Amino acid sequence: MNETVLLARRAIREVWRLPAATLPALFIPVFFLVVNLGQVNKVFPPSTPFLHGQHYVAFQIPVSLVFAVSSATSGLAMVTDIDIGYLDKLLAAPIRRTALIWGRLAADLARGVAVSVLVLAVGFAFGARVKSGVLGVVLLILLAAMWGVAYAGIAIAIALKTKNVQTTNASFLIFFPLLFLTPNFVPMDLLAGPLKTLAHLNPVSYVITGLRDLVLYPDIHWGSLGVCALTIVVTGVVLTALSLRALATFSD
Amino acid sequence: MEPAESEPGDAQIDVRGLTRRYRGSRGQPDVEAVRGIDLTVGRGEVFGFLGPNGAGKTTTVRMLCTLLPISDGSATVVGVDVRRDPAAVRRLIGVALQEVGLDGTQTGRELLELQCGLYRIPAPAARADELLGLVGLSEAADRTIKGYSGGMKRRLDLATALVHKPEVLFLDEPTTGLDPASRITIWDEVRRINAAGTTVFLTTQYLEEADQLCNRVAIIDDGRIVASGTPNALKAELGSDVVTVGLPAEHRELANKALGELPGVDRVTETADGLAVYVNDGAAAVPEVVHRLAEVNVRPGTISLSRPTLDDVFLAATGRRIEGGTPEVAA
Repeated sequence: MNETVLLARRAIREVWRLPAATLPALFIPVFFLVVNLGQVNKVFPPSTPFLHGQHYVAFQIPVSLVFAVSSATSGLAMVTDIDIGYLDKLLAAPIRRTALIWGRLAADLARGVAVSVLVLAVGFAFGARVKSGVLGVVLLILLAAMWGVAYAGIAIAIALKTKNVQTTNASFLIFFPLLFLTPNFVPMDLLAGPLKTLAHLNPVSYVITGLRDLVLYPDIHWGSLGVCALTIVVTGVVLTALSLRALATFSD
Repeated sequence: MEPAESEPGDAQIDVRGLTRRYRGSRGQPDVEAVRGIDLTVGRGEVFGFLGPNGAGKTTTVRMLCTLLPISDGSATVVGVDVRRDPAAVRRLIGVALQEVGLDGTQTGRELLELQCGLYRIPAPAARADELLGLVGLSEAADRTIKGYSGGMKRRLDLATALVHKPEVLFLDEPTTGLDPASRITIWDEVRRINAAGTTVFLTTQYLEEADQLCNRVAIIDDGRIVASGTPNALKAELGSDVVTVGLPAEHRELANKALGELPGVDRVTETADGLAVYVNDGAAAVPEVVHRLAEVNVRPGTISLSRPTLDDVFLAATGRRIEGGTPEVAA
């Protein structure tokens, strides 16, 4: 069996057996979702133009999805492997070293799908609906999971570069400004001044917008969806390249 | 049981001028952890690489296992150049490093089957079963590794290094931190693996471990090999017996000079507690030593007589003893 598949299976087993590593990443976005709804649900009733007849929870679901999948879990798993010496055992095996990264990213994809399904279920429970139908739901889950894979590279690179659990764990904080400097509460055209500029420069904005269009509109908006997918691909290529580079220079 | 003595024949490991240099941090000069060592390990040997903590043992093993780039010099394993073809070397070697590298969330069976898969063993489940039986872990095979004892983890680690029946097995301090019973179990495993034809390169800071297992040893200190040969030959070079004399520091210089002049004394070396006097006939030398010390008005705290050990070899070569070099068992 292919070494990437073997390592992915092992990483997925690890995710399944260590729910404590995944659940906090799920809890925080759900907590934010509930708190945000409690604060602004009445400010933005379904009659608000940018909600297109939906409850505000529908507007927030893409933010929660992106938040839930953008974790440092794979980086933490990698730094744990370094810490216990298991990475040495894998590096001494006659395998392509890149399989170590692909295996981790495959687990991220599986985790991303599972977490996205759960977040969507919470959203549905609060009254959100995906207007673009079943295809929209599938695209939402896949794109959110793919974003999780794309973003995982940064924590893996930090883990390999620093070999330090605390630093790798702290890499999760990088995502906070990336998440909040976006049109997360209101659409882009309602943002003011410098925040609007920063949101335009922030790739996460385009991911959220693409996912949000799937939730709010009955038709698929291929333009925003394409930009969302392109953003995910470019982010994934850059951050995965960083992690592969960190692995290549790991022993130096 | 003492291992057979041997001379390196068909070289399985050949190292020439091997050097590992670490870049100094913040304007500090570079640090050489391994300084141009030469060594040869023959087919079927258990070769011991002995030295205190920080001497360069693990760095050497990591270079030979392709886990650390070689700064200078050359190394071949089973005739394959480690620098030029590390991928080929990885197919030929098994590695169990000092840090037991096992994923605690997997079961013993899952971990071995994964390892078999990575080495493309045709029937991974059957091979995993065979190895679990071999290291006595069949009953614990389906439990997650985090619940294993230290000895069980070490045995499983050994099994993971053996999935592909390697030509050369590298064991980095395989018994460090183990209880005496587990240590003896690992020694038995190493003997069995070696008897099956695998060459073993073993690092240790335990002198008795080297004595028990190794056909030949090299002693490394501060990145340099200070002595090498069969354990018996190295010990024989020091003379027949060692008279150890406990002395306060202020009397050592005088006593050293006085005892060095005695007939039958090969050499006198200062130790942390006094002096080590290497003599041809220990029984005859003890009264002579006491008498001579009395003549120069030095009263010894303790006197003991022993055969030379590898620690004495290390002491003779470096002027220091190996810290923590005595294991807790006498097998």
